[in-house]
Amino acid sequence: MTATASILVVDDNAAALKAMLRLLAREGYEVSGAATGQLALEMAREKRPSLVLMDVVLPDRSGPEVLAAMRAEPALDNIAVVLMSATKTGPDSQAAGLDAGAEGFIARPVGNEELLARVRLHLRQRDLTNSLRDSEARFHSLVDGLVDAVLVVDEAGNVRYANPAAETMFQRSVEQLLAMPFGIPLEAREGADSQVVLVPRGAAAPIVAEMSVARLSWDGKPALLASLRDISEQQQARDALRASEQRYRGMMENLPDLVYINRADRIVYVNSAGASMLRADSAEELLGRSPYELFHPDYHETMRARIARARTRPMVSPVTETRLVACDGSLIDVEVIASSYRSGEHMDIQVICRDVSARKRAEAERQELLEREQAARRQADEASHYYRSLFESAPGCYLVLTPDDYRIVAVSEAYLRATSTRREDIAGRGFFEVLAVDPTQGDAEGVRNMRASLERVKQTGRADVIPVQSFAVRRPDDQGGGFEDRFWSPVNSPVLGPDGRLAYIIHRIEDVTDYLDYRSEIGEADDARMLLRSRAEQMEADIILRSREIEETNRRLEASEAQLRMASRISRLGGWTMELPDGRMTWSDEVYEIHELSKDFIPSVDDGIRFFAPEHQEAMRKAFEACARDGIPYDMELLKITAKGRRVWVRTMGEAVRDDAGRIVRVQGAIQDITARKEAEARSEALQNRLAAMLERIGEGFIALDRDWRITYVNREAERMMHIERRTAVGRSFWDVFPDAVGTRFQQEYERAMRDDVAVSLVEYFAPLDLWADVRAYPSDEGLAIYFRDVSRERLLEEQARQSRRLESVGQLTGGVAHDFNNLLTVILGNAELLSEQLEAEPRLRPLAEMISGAAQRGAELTQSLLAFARRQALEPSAVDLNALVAGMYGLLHRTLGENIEIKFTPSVEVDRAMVDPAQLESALLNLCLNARDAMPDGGRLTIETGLRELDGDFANTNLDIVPGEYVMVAVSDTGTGIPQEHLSRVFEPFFTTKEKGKGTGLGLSMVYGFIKQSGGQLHIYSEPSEGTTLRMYLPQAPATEPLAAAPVAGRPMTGGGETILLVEDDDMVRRYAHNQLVDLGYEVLDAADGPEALEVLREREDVDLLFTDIVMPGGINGRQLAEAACLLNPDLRVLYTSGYTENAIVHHGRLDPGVQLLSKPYRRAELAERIRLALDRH
Amino acid sequence: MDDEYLLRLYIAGKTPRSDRAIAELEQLCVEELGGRYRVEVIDIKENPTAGKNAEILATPTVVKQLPLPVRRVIGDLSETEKVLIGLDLVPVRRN
Repeated sequence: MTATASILVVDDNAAALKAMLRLLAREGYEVSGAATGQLALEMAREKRPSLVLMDVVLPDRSGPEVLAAMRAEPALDNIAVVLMSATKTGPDSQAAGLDAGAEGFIARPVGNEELLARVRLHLRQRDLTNSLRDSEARFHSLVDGLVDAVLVVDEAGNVRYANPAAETMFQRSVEQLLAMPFGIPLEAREGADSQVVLVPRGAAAPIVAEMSVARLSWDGKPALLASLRDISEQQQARDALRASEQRYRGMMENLPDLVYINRADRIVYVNSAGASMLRADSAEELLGRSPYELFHPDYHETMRARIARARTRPMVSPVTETRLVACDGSLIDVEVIASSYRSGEHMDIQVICRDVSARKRAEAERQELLEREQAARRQADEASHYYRSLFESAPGCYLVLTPDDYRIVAVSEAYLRATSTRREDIAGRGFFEVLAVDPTQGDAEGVRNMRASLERVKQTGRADVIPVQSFAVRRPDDQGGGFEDRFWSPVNSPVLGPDGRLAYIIHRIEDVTDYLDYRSEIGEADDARMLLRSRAEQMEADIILRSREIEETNRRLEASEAQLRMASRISRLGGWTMELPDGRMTWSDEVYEIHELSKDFIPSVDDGIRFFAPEHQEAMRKAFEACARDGIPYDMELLKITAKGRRVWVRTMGEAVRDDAGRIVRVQGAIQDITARKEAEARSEALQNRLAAMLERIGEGFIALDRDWRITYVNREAERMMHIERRTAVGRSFWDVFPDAVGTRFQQEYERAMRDDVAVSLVEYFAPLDLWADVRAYPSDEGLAIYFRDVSRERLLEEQARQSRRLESVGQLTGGVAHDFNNLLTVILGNAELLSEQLEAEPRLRPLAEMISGAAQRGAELTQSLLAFARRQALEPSAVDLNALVAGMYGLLHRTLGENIEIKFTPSVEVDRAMVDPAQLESALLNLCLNARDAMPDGGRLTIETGLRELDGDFANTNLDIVPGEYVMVAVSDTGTGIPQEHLSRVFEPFFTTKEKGKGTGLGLSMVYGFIKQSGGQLHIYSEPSEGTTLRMYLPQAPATEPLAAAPVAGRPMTGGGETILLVEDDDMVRRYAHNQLVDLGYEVLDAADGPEALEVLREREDVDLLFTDIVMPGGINGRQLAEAACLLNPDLRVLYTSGYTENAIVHHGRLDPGVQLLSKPYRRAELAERIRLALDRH
Repeated sequence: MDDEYLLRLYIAGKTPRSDRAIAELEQLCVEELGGRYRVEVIDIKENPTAGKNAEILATPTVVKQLPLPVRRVIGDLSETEKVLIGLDLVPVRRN
């Protein structure tokens, strides 16, 4: 029952009230009573009972009236009321009572049991009602306060409930919503779109909402609850973010600069312009790479510092100049500006690189060309200045006129003098303007003649001589002023430009006034004129030549300018041009240098081609002709042979230049010496070849991966080791080629190497190829270089060495323990036996003594097993016929192994005799057979096989302590469950067992192992899970001279005949025990605690027949040494050794020295008796 | 053509979400209703009266007009099974 319910009983019958109160109180209810309706109301208010049992008829007001009053008060509304009546029990009365809100009606009389049952029922009902009301209230308080709109829809999809938030979101009242179908809300599958668009009433904008759906029960029927969260704002924010991101991305994409984003030293974004700047096939190719790969190593250090600084806080770094390394290895000079900003948990760095290499190159070249141009200009200036001064100071009177308008562009000093004019007065003015110097007297005919002569020059292109003219020339003021008549002989000569057209006209005058005066005196004027004329023509030719030179200089200047323009455009060194009309070529200085020609060489197209290597001339000629004829530009890398016979690689380019009409008038181009680059390429190729050759020659496997895990290189050793073919593996994903490596440590380590940029090494087993690989992986910019070696063999040897060492140390330990243990056991065992014999008459006590004896015996066996494992047991090897030994055990095995194991023995005829302790071998064989049986609980076949096996160096190499040679083998195979791989290496360890607790000691195989090893043989196990296990014992062969082991001798009297025995034993207890035993057996016994004491006794007594001595003793003399000393004193003395374990004192190479007799501790009385007798009887 | 099913899909504007709803409904009809259906897509942004008349509270809403009874579902249409159950449809299974 839950918490004690309280019940108010209302009855005016005091006796009935009391009886009911008592009954209910006894049931454990908290009760109170009232006799009137008024009192009942008051008590209900005060006590808040869970249930009111109320008589219908009360003295002041009726039960239903009281009930109605209670229901009117909210605080009392949840009290259950049950009406009782003895009289008004009819259905109408009951119905009236229930109508008034009563939970039930009890007709009196009512039995106690029924009353209690009804009380329990009503209380439970009330609890249920209350909890329902609570949960409804909880639902409302939860859901009504939610910001999310919540709708409950029934199975037909009609709205059954809507919370206030729904009113807001849908812009409809709850009543309106309840009148509408909503539909079945469909829950979005995980990860799918769970958004819906709400449609509010009226003009309100739709709302994006996230809908989640839950099942619930509503009014007892299954229903669905849809909760709708307004995410319009989030959506808008997300849309805005996406739009801004797209805008930003678009902007980045359209930038001509390289833009990338560095997140945690990986490129997570790069624009396509950047990809093409870096000569990458696509932007994707660069993603995930380290940004350091993009930059020249010289800048890495600065870069690291800058990145570290940028990661500390958002900042914009200043512009710096650095150098990029493109995917094809070319270098690009860039200006870098970077800014860092927080992006989630990362500090992203956005880097913008602007290619300034073209600018830098152009700057440098422009500078150079500028200097060259200036030099040329200076030269031209100097030349023109020189020629001008030459011209001006020439003795003749010259004027230089433009042919178009006869403007005076130059004038000689002599002319100025002859005409009494000043340079500044006439230079630049029209010739005829200057000629009309005397406006009052102008000689019209002279001027006309002059004009006609000039026109003739223009038409014919030849010099024209005008008859002597008279001119009135102004006389300078210092000579009296006015005009003076002079006679002139003018000659007009044309000056042709480089294009063959008339550039200038030179007007020369010869003042013949004095000559004419003279001539008229002597009458030889004609001859003199002839003379004059030839002289003048000579002068003209000079001048023409000089002007040509000036022209030529100017033309070169122009060509140089053209080259400058061209070179700036193509940005290459060494320009040349070829004028198509006359095929004249011009080379820049670099072209001369490349050809190793001096500047006075005048080049032609044929020369240009002739200097190419013979094998390249044809290609060059074709390309050039195509360019000159059809305007097809070319760009080739060809070999040139210089004038000095040197071979240089050049890049040669050419393009056609057209005039306004589209005709090709010129071919211009450039050549660049790229020998250094070619040589570097060749060197790099050679290096690569050398590297590849080296990788092929190293004895290790080598696989190179790129950063996308694609295999880029596989050497021969890797092909061999991993059984793959380079041809098919290269280009594929490493993980596709080695699917078994996925998820292994290999993967973890390689990924770590790649991710953290660290070298890793590991030694790991690779199951598919059954090998242990020693792997080192070095990350680089290109990816990962993986070197590996098959170390299976080393692992095996190492494992064996480790196992041997472990077994050796366990052996040391057990040997030491066994020694002390055997001493104790000797005493326990012997005394227990003695006790057992003494208690023959005491049937109650004797079994106790036998139990001690039995336990000690088991302890002794255990110790023996440990010693066997520790290779410390005393073996008595002899030549054993293996086939006979196995055959002899057949019956025993058959009995032991049971019916459901089939035993098969396949002896080999060639089997020779083995040198081994036969008793121990039998025990070992039995042990192996028992193991085999246990591995085949449901029966199977046991095969014993013998044979002769050559254990060669190979076997010996992987099995450390074996001498190569022929061995006799006994193999025991079963068809059992097999041994799991992970257990194989441990099965020889002592106390390692996979058998159930109590089923095995875990010493069986250890013992066999120790025995075989001690016998100089080898134990080998091979197991295949669920197929079976084979154990092979390899035993040394017996020398041919060794006699076969004799059959054990038995049935001789074991007691003493009064012989004297010297008992030497350092352990007090053991000595006392042995002493008693020997006395018991009828011998006379002398005791000694150590070697020196024993020798003392032997010196005194000559009648000692047998020395029975412990081997390991204190006192500086061990048993062996004692025996040797004793035999010197008494040559007839017989010796029997005893020991807890054998040491090298008497056991060498696993066998007792010949003639040595040993009784192993602990020993039974019978054994002691037998061995003492045997020793005494030995001759 | 003898249409056994008449389905109306109400969407709010041409958005990727609407396109997806249309595609998913078409696929469902092709795969589950054996071709005998008609789907009418009504955009209540273009035709608010239709939405008001059909008392659409949210989109995407699919209303199965025929066969009777009228049933409607709201939300993610990729879960074929749920849509079928919600609309009270019996899929035509081709064997």
